[in-house]
Amino acid sequence: MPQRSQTQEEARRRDLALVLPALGVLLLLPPLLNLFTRRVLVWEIPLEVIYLFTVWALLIVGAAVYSRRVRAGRDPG
Amino acid sequence: MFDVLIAEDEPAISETLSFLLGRAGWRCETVADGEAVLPALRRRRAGLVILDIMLPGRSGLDVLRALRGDSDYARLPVLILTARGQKADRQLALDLGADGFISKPFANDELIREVQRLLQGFAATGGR
Amino acid sequence: MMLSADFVVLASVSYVGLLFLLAWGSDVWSRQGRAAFLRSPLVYTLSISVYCTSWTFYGAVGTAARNGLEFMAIYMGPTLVFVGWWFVLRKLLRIGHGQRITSIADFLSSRYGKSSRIAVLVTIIATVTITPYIALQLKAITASLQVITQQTAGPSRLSTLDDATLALIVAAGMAVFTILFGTRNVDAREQHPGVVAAIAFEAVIKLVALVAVGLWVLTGVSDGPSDIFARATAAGYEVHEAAPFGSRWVTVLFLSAAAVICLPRQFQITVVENSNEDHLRTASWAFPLYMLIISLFTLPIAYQGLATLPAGANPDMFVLTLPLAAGQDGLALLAFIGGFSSATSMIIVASIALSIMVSNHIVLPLALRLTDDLSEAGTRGFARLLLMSRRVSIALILFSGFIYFWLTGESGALATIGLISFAGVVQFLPALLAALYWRRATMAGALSGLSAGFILWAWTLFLPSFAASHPRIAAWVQEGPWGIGLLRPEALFGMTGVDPLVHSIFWSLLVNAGLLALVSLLTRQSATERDQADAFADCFAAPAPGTAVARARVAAEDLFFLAERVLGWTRAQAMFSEAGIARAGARAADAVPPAFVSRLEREMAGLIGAASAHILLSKIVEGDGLSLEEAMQIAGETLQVISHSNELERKSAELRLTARKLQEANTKLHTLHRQKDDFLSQVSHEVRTPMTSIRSISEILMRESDLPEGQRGRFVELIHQESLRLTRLLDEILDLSALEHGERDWLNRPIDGSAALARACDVCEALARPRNIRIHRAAKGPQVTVAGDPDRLAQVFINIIANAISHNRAADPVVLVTAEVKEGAWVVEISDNGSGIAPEFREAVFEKFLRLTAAPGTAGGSLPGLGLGLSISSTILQKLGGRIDLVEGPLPGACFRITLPLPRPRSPQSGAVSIAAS
Repeated sequence: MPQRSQTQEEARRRDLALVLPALGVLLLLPPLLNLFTRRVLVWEIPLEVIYLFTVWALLIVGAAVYSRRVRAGRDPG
Repeated sequence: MFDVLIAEDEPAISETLSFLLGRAGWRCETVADGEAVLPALRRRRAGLVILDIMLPGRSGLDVLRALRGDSDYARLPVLILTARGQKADRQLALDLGADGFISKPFANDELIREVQRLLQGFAATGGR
Repeated sequence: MMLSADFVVLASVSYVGLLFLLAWGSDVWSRQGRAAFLRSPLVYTLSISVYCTSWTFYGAVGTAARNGLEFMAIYMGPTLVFVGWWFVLRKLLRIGHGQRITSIADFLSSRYGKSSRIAVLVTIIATVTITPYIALQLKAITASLQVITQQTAGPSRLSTLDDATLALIVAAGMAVFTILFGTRNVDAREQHPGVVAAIAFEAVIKLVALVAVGLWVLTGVSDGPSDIFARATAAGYEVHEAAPFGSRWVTVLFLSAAAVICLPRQFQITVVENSNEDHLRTASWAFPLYMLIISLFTLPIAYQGLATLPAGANPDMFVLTLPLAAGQDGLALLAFIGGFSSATSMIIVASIALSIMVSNHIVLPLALRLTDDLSEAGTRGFARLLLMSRRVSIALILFSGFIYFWLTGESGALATIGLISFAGVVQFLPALLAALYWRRATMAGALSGLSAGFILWAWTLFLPSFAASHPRIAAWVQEGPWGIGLLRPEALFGMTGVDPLVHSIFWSLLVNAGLLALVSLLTRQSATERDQADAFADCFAAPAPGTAVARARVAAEDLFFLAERVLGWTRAQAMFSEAGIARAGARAADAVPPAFVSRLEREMAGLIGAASAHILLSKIVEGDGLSLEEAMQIAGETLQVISHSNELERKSAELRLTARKLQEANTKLHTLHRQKDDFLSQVSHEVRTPMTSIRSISEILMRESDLPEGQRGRFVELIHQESLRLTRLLDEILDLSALEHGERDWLNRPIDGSAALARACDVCEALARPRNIRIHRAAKGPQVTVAGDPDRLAQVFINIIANAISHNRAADPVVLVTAEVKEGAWVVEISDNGSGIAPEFREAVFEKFLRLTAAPGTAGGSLPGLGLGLSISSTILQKLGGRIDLVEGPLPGACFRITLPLPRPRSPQSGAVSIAAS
């Protein structure tokens, strides 16, 4: 049943597309974010700085990986 | 087996032809319709077909094409006898594989000579 | 080397010149089709980096120095949007391409029923909200120029100028530059490859400059980031966040995410200038990467500045002041160029985007309403108008940016101003998201939400920004307008203690989205709105079949307006009243029937060309504004038509007529010639046939002396028969000729038609019997009197019946003759059950020169000459006032129907009398 697997495929793709931004939002919002505002220094650099930049970099990497996986198909969003 | 099949729808002409050829010693059969030519040939073998172009049913040229397309009759002598005497008609008939062309009205001598020539030629090749 | 202000200015101007060359060159290449690289994902991504303006270049450091990590939110918001490109961005691009969107105003207007009101409102909101942003750029440029002036050697003209004048000069210069840059020509899809190329180049310069300064800070003057932070702590600065991330962080995150879509310049670059949806895949990670790299150095630079520069130094300018202080003039110059570059890119793209909206949605519709006559404007007129309006808009926009700068004074960090703009454009967000995802959103909802949100923004953020330099406003902010505490701009309805930005966002978006939802639910959509809502929401579905059918309800008034301008009042009025279309009053709201719209279009096409008529009408029906290309097309075609004056048209029509007549005459001559040849050939054939037997038999009779008597007699008989036949033929030819020349005319007098018919049947019996053909006669009606000649009429009947007999080769040949009175005429039908007449001959069977015999070279069943009998009969019948036709008869063969008019119904003709059949 190719029809069904295509819808499944679309749904999976949509779900995958959701993961990264959703994760990003979660990681960047106060509840989670404030976990890292301890007075910790990593190599003299505040933890929150490291955390933010790390999350940022991970999001970029994730996006790059995802974009490579998604070939330019004309599938509905 | 007969010698000449006459395909002519004008009764006066076919009657005259039959007489003429009969006098010269050949056995003839007459059909008055284009459609009847091939069946007549299949029934009894002939040595020559005298074919008018203006035939009801199937035109003489059509019959000629059919004859030439049929392996049995591809080499059967055909003499076109027609009131259409223009050069184009003559050329077309010859192109389609007619062996002789005589326009009406004709001289009896000429007709007899042509029939003779074609029948002999046919016989010379084994009469197939 | 000491930098001088003049040198810096010179460098800047040269840089601008370089940019201009780049833009111009790219445009040229693009037009020649050689600029494929301009359409690469890389260039696309770099152009999106126009998001990073001098706010990023200078202001981020300032924010970092003042407020810590808040500056990062401004870049992480867009990161989230781009990383989640699958959702909002992709749909935006798809719709943008599908609907050929030219701006954010166009986008919203298109979704909400192609409403021009929405377009105008969005344009106004955009213009007002971006004004502070432009002021921000001016501020950055002037501040950086001041820095250079103060810290460089030698007196300079610049040092004598105060900020305001400097800003004015800069604004003017930027206006000129932008006008030269972006309004040299106009593209129908509003794409500017040259501008995109220049912006991409500037993005690189920005990055290089900032990274250079950053790397220098990290390596040249310190031992790396750890060292910087350590020293900052040592200097007494708090490197940790003062307070946990709170509502302000979330607000800024949200605002920046919205801004990267809603900012007019961002929309322009990301959606309108996009050439390939697939580029989003690259931009999704490459753009955040760009921002990441730029941001990496913000904190180090900020802390370095705090630690090493004098206390009162403006942190916004650290990027510039640090190198200057360290004597790194080259780096400082690079930094200045970078900052200058970042400001100019914003100004260029923003003012171009805004001018597009202003000219397309405000100026052009106004102009169309005001011009009396389309043709007056002409092609160049429209183009001139649009370009002029864009240039004026750009100048005005920059000027208002300057005014804002001047009115708000030097107070406030760059970032504050920027956030005010963000909060303004975020008002587009509810309507935009609804456009993408909520079919039910109506124009009324969007309109009310947008207006209310804008007003609230203006009240809560825009107005207070003037407070610092205007005491009256400051008082209002403190105590509320006219003392009404509940309406305090920064504490509406008693909401105190909240950051002004958060406060503004809260109220404006609450009311905006609330009204959008509420009003949408309470109002109904027009047909256009519904179509557009579906088109937007379903943009990923299979491609819609062609362009949308104009099912929208057109306002009759709009249609008339257009018709009047093209067709003239008289004609338009005539058309409308003819079709019963009311333009005013109660029925004016009725839907204009599509058939009328089509007719109107055809009418207009006659004057201004089909394409223009169609464009004009569909645009009117869709309620859209015209884009420049379309306007030019219309005007161009109009000019063409007018230039071909009526005189020329008439002359050429005459010529065509003459040519056609000559052609017809020629064809007739050919036909006659051919017919003559055919006739001769036919006659020749007809003559030769009997001649054949005559000659042959004669020769036999001459030759053969001993023929049997019976045979001899037979032959003589045949000769006689054929001679008769020949004679008959020759008679017929003469007869026909005489008939046609009127030489054998007779007088039509009342005769007994049925008697003539009976006589003909009798004569033909003689012919039929030898062939065993039966003639059935079935005549209905009493004696019929027709006008004619008894012999001629009989001749006709004999001809037809004889034909039927002689050409009937059926097994059981029958000829049926019927006669009856029908509808005031006498109808005689002669049918046989022979083989009939082949369809291809039916037309020609009555032709004089019958071509029932095949032409030379063709095959096909032939009917031996029917002779001239039919044509003679036909001619005779014509002279009797009747006619003969070949029809489908009761019998399988041919059926000839002879119709003769009855002179006057004198006696009742009823009852059926049948003559005894044989």
